[in-house]
Amino acid sequence: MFYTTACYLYSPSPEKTRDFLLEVLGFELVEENSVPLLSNGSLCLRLARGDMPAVLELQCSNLEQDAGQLLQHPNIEKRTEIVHMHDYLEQHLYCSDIGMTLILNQPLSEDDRDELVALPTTLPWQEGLIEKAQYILRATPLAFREKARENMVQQAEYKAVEEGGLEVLEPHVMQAFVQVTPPFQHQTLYEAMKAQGIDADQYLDEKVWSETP
Amino acid sequence: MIPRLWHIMTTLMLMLKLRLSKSEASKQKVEKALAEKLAKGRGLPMKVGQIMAGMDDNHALQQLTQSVEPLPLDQVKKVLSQAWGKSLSEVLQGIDESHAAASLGQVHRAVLCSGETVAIKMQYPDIEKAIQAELSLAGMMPRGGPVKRWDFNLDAYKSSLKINMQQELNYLHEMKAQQRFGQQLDVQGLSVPKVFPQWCRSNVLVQAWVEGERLAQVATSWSQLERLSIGKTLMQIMFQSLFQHGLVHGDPHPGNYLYQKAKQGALVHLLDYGCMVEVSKKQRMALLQLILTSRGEMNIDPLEGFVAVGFDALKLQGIEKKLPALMQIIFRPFILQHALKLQDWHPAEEVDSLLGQQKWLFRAAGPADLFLLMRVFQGLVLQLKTLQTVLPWWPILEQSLHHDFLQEVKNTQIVKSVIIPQFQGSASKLHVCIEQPNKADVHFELPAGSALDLASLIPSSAYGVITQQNIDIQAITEQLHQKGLHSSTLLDIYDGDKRYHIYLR
Repeated sequence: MFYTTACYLYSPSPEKTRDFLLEVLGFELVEENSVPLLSNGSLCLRLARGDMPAVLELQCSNLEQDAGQLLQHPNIEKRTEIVHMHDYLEQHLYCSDIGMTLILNQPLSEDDRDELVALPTTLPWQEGLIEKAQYILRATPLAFREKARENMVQQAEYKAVEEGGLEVLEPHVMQAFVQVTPPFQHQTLYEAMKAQGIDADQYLDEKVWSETP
Repeated sequence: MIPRLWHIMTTLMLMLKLRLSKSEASKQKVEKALAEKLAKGRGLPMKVGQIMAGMDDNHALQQLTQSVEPLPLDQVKKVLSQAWGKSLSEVLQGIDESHAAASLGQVHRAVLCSGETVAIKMQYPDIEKAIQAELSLAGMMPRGGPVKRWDFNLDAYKSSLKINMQQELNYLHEMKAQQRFGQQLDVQGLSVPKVFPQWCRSNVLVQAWVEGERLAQVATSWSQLERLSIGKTLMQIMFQSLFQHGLVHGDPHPGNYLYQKAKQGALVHLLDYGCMVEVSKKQRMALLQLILTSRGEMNIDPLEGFVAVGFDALKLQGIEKKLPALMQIIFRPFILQHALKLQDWHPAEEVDSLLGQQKWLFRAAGPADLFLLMRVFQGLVLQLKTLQTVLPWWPILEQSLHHDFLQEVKNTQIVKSVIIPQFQGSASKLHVCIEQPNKADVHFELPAGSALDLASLIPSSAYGVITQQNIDIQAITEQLHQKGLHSSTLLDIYDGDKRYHIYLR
């Protein structure tokens, strides 16, 4: 079993590249010698002298903003505009004084992609209900959405079978939403249900949060 | 009779080969040879093949559940006429060639003089004698390996097999079971074919003719809702027959199920009531209480619960602390508050990982007829997997039972404090160790009381050296009975570089 610890990055001027990595991209110097070792916590690079074109791929959370900051550096220029791929954005920058290409990419969430993610259903659902549930799920913060999606579907289908049926109906889904959503998010859920034309009062009591100071 | 015995002996050899096959290619080769061999012999060999097919999604063996070469119609007519004591024309308008030939008999489509289309199941002449002879071979079942080491009650297994086969050979018994099953069960989608008692004899069963598709066709060509409906019906049949009535259809091989589309969902025609498993009220209530305890809805002592189901307390004592975790594995589909994808459920591997070699202790502790029940459960799981249906088990179980019954289970104290025989002395565990160079050591623990049957625990490989060294196992056991189970070495011998060390701690 081997563990990859570092890769070599060749540059015609390793000293300048070293400074760029330390000052602009937030790397830290781990080992100072003829081939210095730098790390940013997830990637370790050894800097060596060479003529091969250096390419670094960087992931960011806001491509436009992060690329803008890099472009303020006097030796960095745009090589491409922001390109919209299926599930990420990408832009190429070039650092002329050290001859390095920077490939910046930003992963796109399901909201960024404006995509309704399929529900992991195992029973048939009433017509149109899946789409409504997918829109209501968008009210759940992204960090919790996948788990919420799985729990909601499991609960809704359990309720359908518990009532003796094999088809999932609106009340099963809405009750499942209420069950898997923490109470402090019920107002948001209520509004999301309303936005889908659902009589949310059947499932949630507006008074509960309107009277809460 | 000698060719039949030879046939069985060679079949047993192939089964052993199958167990020992290491590569998939050799396993498939042996399976094919075994399927051909089992199909050639009606009676017990074919029954064994059908049992294996029912437990495993095995294509070679599943051919056995479909057909073998039937007896000619002329011969069948003679047997029927003799059984009814009438000429055939007094009973039947007509009879077709055999529709299906199975392990003990074959089936013909016929029309009664009264106009009903029926299925006539006729037992092969002399099959009873052949089966009796084959059953006597059960005495040759191997007693080595886990059977011996973990003290399986082989006599109980043999007796269970014998009673079961004898019941299967009596079609009047089957007729009554079919009537009782049909009257007792109230499951939407279940069809139990009507029997015609006036034409049933010990070797002839006459029931309404039913038609339908096989599971493989249903799985590939029926809609999701229809498959779900079938899956739910199969679960309800199992849960209601087991927990509510204690009379379970014990032969889950695919040939016994025919599926038919109906206005409301689908119909399951359940055939062949020859092998039924009876479960006492105490056993099924205890089983339900164990499940309720695993769900956190009751709180019974797991050891006492298993003992009420029929397990041996002394053997279970060795794994008592692991029983709650074990229940979480084996009852998982009933515990989860959502549907379990059965493809993701691997109870055998999990039990193996929890208990290691002690899994044999659990199996040996179980009552003999539990094997049949396990087979029925495995059949249900296989059917649900084939249908690709994912359904939650608990609500379907609740719907399968009368509300009053579930309440009765929750409110009744079935389990009683188990008094485990105590022996004088301080040792709690018996350790059996085999150490050999260049091989992993074998070490397993048993309850200390197991030492009282030391002879059954000695590995067969150690017999030679024990005889050579004139060690008297019986004398050691007698001494334990007299002086009690104290920490001590019972046996510490070398056979070359191999060491056998058995001690109490």
